[in-house]
Amino acid sequence: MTHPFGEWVETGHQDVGPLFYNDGPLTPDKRVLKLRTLADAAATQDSACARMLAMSREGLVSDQFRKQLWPLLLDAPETPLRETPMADLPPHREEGQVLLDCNRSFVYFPPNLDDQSREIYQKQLYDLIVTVLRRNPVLAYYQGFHDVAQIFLLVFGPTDAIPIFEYVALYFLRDFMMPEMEASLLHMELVAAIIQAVDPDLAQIVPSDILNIAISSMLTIFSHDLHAYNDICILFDFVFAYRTMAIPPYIYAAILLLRKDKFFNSQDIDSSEVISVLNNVLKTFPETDSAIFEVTSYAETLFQNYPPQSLKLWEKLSQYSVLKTTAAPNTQEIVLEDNKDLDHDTDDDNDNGDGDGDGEIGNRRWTQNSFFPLVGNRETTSENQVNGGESPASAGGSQHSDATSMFDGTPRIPSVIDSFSAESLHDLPLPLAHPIYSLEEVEEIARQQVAEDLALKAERDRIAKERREKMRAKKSAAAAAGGAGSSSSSGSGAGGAGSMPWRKPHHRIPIWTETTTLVARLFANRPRTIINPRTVATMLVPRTVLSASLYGGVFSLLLAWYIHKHPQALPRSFDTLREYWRYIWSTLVARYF
Amino acid sequence: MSASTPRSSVSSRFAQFKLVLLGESAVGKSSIVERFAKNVFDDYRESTIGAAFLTQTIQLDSNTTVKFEIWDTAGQERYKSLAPMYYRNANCAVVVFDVTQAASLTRAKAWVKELQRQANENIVIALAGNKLDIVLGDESKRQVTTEEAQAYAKEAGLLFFETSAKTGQNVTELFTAIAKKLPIESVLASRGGASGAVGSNSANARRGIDLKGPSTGATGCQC
Repeated sequence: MTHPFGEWVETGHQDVGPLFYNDGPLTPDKRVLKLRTLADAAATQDSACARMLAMSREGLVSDQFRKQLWPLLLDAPETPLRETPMADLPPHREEGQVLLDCNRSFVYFPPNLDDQSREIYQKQLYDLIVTVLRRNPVLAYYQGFHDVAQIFLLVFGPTDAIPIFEYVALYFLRDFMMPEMEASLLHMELVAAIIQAVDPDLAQIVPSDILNIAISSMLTIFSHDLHAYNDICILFDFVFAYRTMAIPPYIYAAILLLRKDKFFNSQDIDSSEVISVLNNVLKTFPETDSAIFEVTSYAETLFQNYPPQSLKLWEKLSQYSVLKTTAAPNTQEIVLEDNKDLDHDTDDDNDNGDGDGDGEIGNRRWTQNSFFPLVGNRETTSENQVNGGESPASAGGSQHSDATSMFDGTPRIPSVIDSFSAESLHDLPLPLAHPIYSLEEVEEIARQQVAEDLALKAERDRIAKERREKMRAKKSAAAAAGGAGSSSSSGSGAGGAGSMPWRKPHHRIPIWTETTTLVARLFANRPRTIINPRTVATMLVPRTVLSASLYGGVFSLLLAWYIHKHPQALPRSFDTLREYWRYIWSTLVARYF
Repeated sequence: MSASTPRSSVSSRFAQFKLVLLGESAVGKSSIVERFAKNVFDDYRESTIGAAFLTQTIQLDSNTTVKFEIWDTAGQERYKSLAPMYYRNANCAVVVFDVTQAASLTRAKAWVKELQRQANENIVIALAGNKLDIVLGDESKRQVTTEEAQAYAKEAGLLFFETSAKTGQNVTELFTAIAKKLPIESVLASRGGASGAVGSNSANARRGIDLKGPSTGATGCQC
């Protein structure tokens, strides 16, 4: 077979590949070349090449290639997980909600949809979702699932979408399909943790509770918030190339971090303003044609410099979360094992169909399938990328130097990518191995996760209830203490707080340590009659500073009085001191009291 | 926008309130907000996921401006556990039901109960029976009578309106009635000036940002 670009390869252009496709916008001739390469990757099922292309500018370009390459990127099994038709299965408990959402789907795309075709699409969408749900009763339906389903339906068509979407639901969207929201909330926490790690200043302005607004983006891998079908697909390409659900939080963080100046514009920004800005940032994303690529490559930088495993949060994450089950729990360990495995494969030149070294670690199989080609254009994204990007590359690169055959041992059409894959292996960052679970294992994980989710929710409710009761008790105690007591939060105020019951007192009592405040409170705010000497005593005695000065003062006065009465009590050498005490007594005490 | 309202001027008053929309799925919460904020209605409207945020300002009278920060929540039952996040510190709530769906009123009642139990004590709650246009066209489609909803609202101490996001009927009236019931005077008084804002947001408290500053109103609507 001849290849139209075969000659071009022979000219020895070694460093084509990511750089080639990332440099600037995709020009028509580059696009033609990319489409050819995509066709090659699809024909040969070359996952490494597919990954590189998916992460480069404009992703997999067209639905034709997405249909062929997404299953490859996602390591979807070749045979469907299940094949029982929808009609043979008992109904799922949430089909009513599915119908409500399907009736409101296909709002923004495909373009120029007439009512009749929209109805057809909606019916297909309903069937797709209900089939997946009926086959997996352990999964719950969530609003947003239909947004992801829409994309799969459009890419794969009504029949082909079912097996791949079922796989995606069970293996990738599982966290969101729990009966409660606990597992979903972890994804927003991850966004917060990334921002905290990368830019604590921004984390101050956008605290984690505000980041809950990211929920629609996380739950739908951005398909709910972006309205252009192609933009969504390009983001899906990128996420699937990374093959981990840990990457969407990095994308979200990247969007915010790249536009962080918007948050710092105002000096005293309040929370509703932050939410507005946050809202706006996402609504206007992507602002330009290249914004998506800018964001994905920055997300990649973040992922490499602050990998999820390096974040404090990681330890706390549930082992059942897709954040962990779609990525290795500990990259370092697994990579070492895999590298050995890889060398072994290379020596034997004994590649299987996928050309990957599937190793055995403990009871878990790991695939070597997902490693991340370095996307070019690095220097344009961030300066600290150089540091972070290089170390993993140098760690893994030396061992990969002659691992040409790891891509695919089977003979195939030569493509420009061959030169890339052979040469730029040096640059490849560490592979992120992931476990391959069988259907039974995943179902077991899902069941465990459901139990965990319910338990966590119960715990959260319990805590919330306790807090409410405590608040209520405090409130009634405050009411019993009388109206005067409630003015504690007003400080110097003119009693305004009392008229705003929803406004909780932000500061209470610590001001007591301040003597002036204490005195002011005792003599100004409260009527004299209610000053109980005992209360005053209990307030004063434990305060070391106050009591020390009080005791000191009393002691000095006593001493001064004593010296005044008994001038001979101190020896001569204490003359000065004696004079001092006498002075105190005669001028201060005797004169004024 | 009213954003440039001079804050020291005694003749203009500006107050900001947090409003949350609750109710069963597909009763028209987002459509009501859309009608209120942009005065438009889409026949095709996607479901809300999590919650959507937007702001809208209304002129109560010649010198009083009220800005609503609106949290439009998702209706699906599973998102219920996120609701406290949105109604916490809310000054007012609109609980929406669909006059053509009897079950949606039951759900609305549950929301009202939860709000009265767990939200701010002084929260102003309005009950909105949406999709009035459908029953005006065909009375047989009505499943919740005006009297029934009215009686419930009275008993629970709620404002009540039958609305149509599609035609716009009663939507502005709904929000205006809420604004009138809000304690604008005490908010302004507590700020010690002609203008003020309510924002007892924990996030602010934590960051120690002074809400008394002129920032609150100076931002305007970013949506």
